[in-house]
Formats: sequence, structure tokens, C-alpha cells
Amino acid sequence: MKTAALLIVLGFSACLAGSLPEGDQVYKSNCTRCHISMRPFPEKMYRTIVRHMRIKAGLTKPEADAVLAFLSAMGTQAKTADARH
Amino acid sequence: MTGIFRLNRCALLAAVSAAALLAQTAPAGGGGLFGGATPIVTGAFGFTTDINNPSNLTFGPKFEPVILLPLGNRFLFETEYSMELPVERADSTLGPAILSHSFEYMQLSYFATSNLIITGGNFVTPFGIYKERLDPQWTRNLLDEPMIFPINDYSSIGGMVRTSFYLSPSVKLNVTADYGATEGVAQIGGEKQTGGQVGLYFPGPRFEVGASYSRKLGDEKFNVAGMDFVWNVRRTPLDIRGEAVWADLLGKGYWVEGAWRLSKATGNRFFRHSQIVGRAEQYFSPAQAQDLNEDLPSVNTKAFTAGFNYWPTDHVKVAFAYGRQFDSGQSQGIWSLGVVYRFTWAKGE
Repeated sequence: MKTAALLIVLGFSACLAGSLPEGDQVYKSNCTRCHISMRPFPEKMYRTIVRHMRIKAGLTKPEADAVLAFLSAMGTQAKTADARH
Repeated sequence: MTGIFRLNRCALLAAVSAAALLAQTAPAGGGGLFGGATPIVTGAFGFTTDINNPSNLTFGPKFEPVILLPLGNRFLFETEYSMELPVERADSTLGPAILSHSFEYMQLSYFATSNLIITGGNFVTPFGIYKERLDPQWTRNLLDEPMIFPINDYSSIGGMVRTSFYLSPSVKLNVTADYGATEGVAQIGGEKQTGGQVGLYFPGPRFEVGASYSRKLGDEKFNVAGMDFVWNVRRTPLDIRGEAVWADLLGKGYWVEGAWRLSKATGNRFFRHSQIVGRAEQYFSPAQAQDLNEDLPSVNTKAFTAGFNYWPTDHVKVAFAYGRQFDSGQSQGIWSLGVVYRFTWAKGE
């Protein structure tokens, strides 16, 4: 019984850990479901926006971190980061 | 009513103050009161015109400011206020213009773990995809909402829990449970209701399917259920979305929408910033005529709409659409034209 419980907990934890896709993949998979493009912003603003979108888009913390890193990296480069296409 | 409003406002202020205190003691992940983030004021200002026959038109501005206030590393306070001034001209008579304004939401969220978010306050009731994700005038593909939108156009005053995690590298599960404890007061909307939402997302094909349920607990108690899907086609910039809703007392219906961005169709700058949209929808009124929601059609209705969107800059969208509505053996055309300006301002930027 205890072993079964332990296996369930371990299995659940493995699910929670999941695999983390790259930032651009997370962006393309999640953000473009509703947004066509993202304007370049300073990183501090992206931190707020991504926190807001964690709620709306159901992002996990690792996914949110990956998107934040991706957006911050390209933030100052592209005027319009239409990364989906 | 005023007493309840004051109580809610006090509770909200207390929650925000507590969050601010907690924020100051938060671990130094990003640091500071805002956790390395910054407060943002964003939103959209739009002007829309609907013409459904030469002598009947509705036009007016809509303003939707949003405030995002991060507190420490684990909290976010956010609120959206909506102001609208529709002016109607029917049979050569103009007006009256009546300003409608209210909070869309005013909520405090706590990011408890990597996979768990707890939200309290006044929040948009999680149901389907339109209300939570596509309703803002900047985000929606067509200027007018689907006909069945009033069935799940609700807010709650209470609490909501969200979790999301990967079942496998190719399947993600999103689950939301919500409880609305009280009716709305003044400009804060709310319904006594409880419900939940379950969604599966497949990152490979970029396909999402979800189911929603809500039990209305007000004077009229009834069930509302819904299904939704979103598919971002990988090979071409095409988005297909749809939603179906069944409500015991309000009827049932569906909408399916396709939006194709012309970015890959041509190198022409105009078309690279353009999008074609089409929507088919149908509403079936309940067997017994309902008077709970006057925004729903009174008879079985179907409609087809085609639209064209163009973004001259990153901040401006120009939208045009033509739809044809069929009910009781009659049909009428609806022309829509609108301009939306999106703004974003941050502290210190």
C-alpha cells in the first residue's frame, strides 16, 4: 500500500517536472494561440506581462521562465517579434 | 448594497496591503517590492460602427484600461475597467447615448508553486475560450462577439484555483476550479456560481481542446456546459477556434472561426500586416422563451461573417467585417468598421 502511494507520488512528481521545451517553442505553442505579434519591451515589463499570462494561458513556472528569457533576448532586436512565422 | 461594496473594497485593500507586506519579505529572486518586474498600465481604445440597415446604425468609443501590479515574486494584482458609449441611430433618430462602465475584473493572484495559482477577488469566470482570452477588443478577430457570448459572459466574486502540468512531453493538462460567493455590486460584476474547466493541450500539433461547466446558484439555478478548441495550424499561419455551449434555461449554440494571416501569402507590406477572418455560428433558443438574458436572440438564429484586419503599426488595428444573419425566414446584413489603438505604459519606462 505504502509502495503504491509512493509510486503515485513519484509518478505525479514526474508529471509535474515534465520536460521543458525551448523558449521560442513555448512562445509559439502558447502565446500565438491568441496573439499575432509581441512588441519589444524592456525585461522588467516582460516580467509583469509573463506573470499576467501565466494565469490566462495556464503556463507553468518553467514555461513562463522560458518565454521570459526568449522575449527578453529578442526584445531589443526585433521591432515586431512575429516569431510564429 | 453599499455596505457590501464597502466590505468588499476593504477586503480587497486588506488583501493588497497584506500582499505588499509579504512582497517586501519575499526571497530575492527578482528583488524589491515588484519582484524585479514593473507596474504596467495597458489596454485599448477603440471606435466601432455597426450598420444593420441604412437607417439603423450603432457607433461609439470603447476604452479598456488594464493595470498590472506585481507584488514581490509571487503576487500579481490586476484590474481592467471597461467604458463604452454606444450611440444608436434608428429611423433618423439619434441617441440617447448611455455610458456603460464597470470593472471587468479586479483580482489578486498568488503563484503558490510552479503549477498552482490561487486567485481571489473579482475575476472573469473561467468558461470556454472567448470571455477570458479573446474578448479584449485588441485580441478579438472580429469586432462583434459571437451570438452565444452572453451565455458565458460572467464574472465572479470569490476564489479560483488553477493548475497546469504535463501528463507527458506531448500532452499538457490545465484544470481550473472557481467559486463565486456573491452577486455583483455597483460596478463590480458577479454571479453566485461554481464551476470548472479542464483542458488538454498538445504542443506538437498545437491543438487544444477543453470542457467547461458552471452551476448558477442565484435565484434561478441551472447548469451551463461548454466545449472549445483552438488549433494553430503549423504549416500555414491559420488559426481555427470554436466553442459550443449548452445552458438549461438560455438555449444552446456554437461558433467556429478561422483566421488566416497573409504574412506568407505575399511579400507585399500591406498584406504581411493583414488577416482574413471567417466565422459561422448558430444559436438555438430554448423551448420555453427565456427572459434571463436580453442580449441573446429571441429565436433560432444563424450567421456568417467575413472580416478583414489590417495593422498599419504595432499599436493600431483597423477592422472591417460583413455578416449575414438568418432568423425566422428573414435575413439581414451587418456591416462593421472599427479602429483600435493599443497602449502600454510602465513605471520608469
